[in-house]
Amino acid sequence: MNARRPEGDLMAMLRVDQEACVASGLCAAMHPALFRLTEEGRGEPVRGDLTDADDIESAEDVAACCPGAAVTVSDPD
Amino acid sequence: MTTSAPPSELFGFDYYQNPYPTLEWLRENSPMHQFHFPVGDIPLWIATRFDDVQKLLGDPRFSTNPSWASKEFVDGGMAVGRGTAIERIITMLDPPDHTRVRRLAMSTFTPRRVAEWEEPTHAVVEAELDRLEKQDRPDVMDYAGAIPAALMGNILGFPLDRFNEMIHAIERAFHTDPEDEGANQRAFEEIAEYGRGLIAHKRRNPADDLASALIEARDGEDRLDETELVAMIAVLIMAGLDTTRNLIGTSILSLLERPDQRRLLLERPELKDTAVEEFLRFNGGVAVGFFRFAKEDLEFAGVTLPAGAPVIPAVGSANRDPRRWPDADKLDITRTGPRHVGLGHGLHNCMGAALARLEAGVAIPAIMRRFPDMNLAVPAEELRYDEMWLVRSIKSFPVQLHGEGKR
Repeated sequence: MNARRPEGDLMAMLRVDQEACVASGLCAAMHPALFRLTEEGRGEPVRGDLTDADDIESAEDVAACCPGAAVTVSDPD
Repeated sequence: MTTSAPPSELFGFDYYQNPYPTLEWLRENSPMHQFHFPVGDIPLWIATRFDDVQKLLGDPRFSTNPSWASKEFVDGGMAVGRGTAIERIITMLDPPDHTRVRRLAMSTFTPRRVAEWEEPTHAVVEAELDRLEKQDRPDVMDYAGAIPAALMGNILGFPLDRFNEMIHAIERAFHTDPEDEGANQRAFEEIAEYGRGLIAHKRRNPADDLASALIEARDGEDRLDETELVAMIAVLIMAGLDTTRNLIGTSILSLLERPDQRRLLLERPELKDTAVEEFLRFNGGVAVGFFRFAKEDLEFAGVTLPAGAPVIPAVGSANRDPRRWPDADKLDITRTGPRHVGLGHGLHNCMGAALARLEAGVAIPAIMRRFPDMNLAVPAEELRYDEMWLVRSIKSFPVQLHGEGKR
């Protein structure tokens, strides 16, 4: 989906599975720059692709703390 | 003209027996209400509207950690578990400690992992129903307490054979008794000491269970310190036992008082999931969340708060807010409306939510199926709720399992 990136550029895909999300509000409370809540209170990523190492680490923290195991941080497709 | 004070004093005897008239008054007349807690005579605030409570729980300008609390709050003996390992429970940790500790335990409680406990939960519930049937004076609170004790014992990896003592210690820990302020901390120390004993036993007998995994995290990679390890075992016992016990107990009472809802749950077992959400909303085990302390001077919900100000998130009131639910004071197990805050919200939302839902979703319908004629053995007005600020807990809930005059 993205144009080719230079070699070595950090990149991860951030997703919130809307079926698995239990609307606990944890993600947006932990890292409001990376997650926001929908009208129904479900989490969604502010951006789907992360390029900053700290952001990726923060997103992985959220994934490990999410009560619905709804957050995934993965290598780009 | 409205009266200038709520119908009954907050956290007084009448409030504990039925807090809802007071909470309704607060929602309408003083949604961010300043008052004095009966213990320690500390000034604090209570938020009662849904929107305010949810915002409070998700607002990073507030912390649950008493290191942010005003000096008078701490000096007044109000800081939960002060001077014991309990002051390091995850519920009161800020990031990044909170993140590090939650990461270690969360994977055990995700919906997918908890689903593996469904069959054991059914087995525990059937065994406890058999045991209840043999009692001379069957009490629903015994049934309600035995189920989370068995499940948490299985998950942690040791039999919680002293769980009744722990339930009493938890009650004393969160009791509001202005005559004996030291009693709370002694009870917290008792819970921590029980945790230390279990850890010592588990170090000698490691197995494939959560306690062993947490000990390994402590002893191996040094990610939990010893106090955090004790605090984690203690909080799993506290949060795993008493909240679920009270959710199950109060929900069974709600059904006995509402024959139409009771019949509906029996006739349409597929309503179990919406019923559990409604039980959590209507009279879930937790009455209020832990204190939130303003980390700076700030404005919240139209009120100016000084740094250190303690605010109580009244989740039980938020869940009855008519601004969010039509007929909010009516129990309707078919309700599919918006999400409640019975399991919290934000950073400290309930880690054991999936397990609580599983236990309630099995235990409540099962007792109704087994004893379709069950009724209260005493008039409803004789039931008493314990004077515990954190949860709504029926002291004793005697029933006639087979209805009037039969045993």
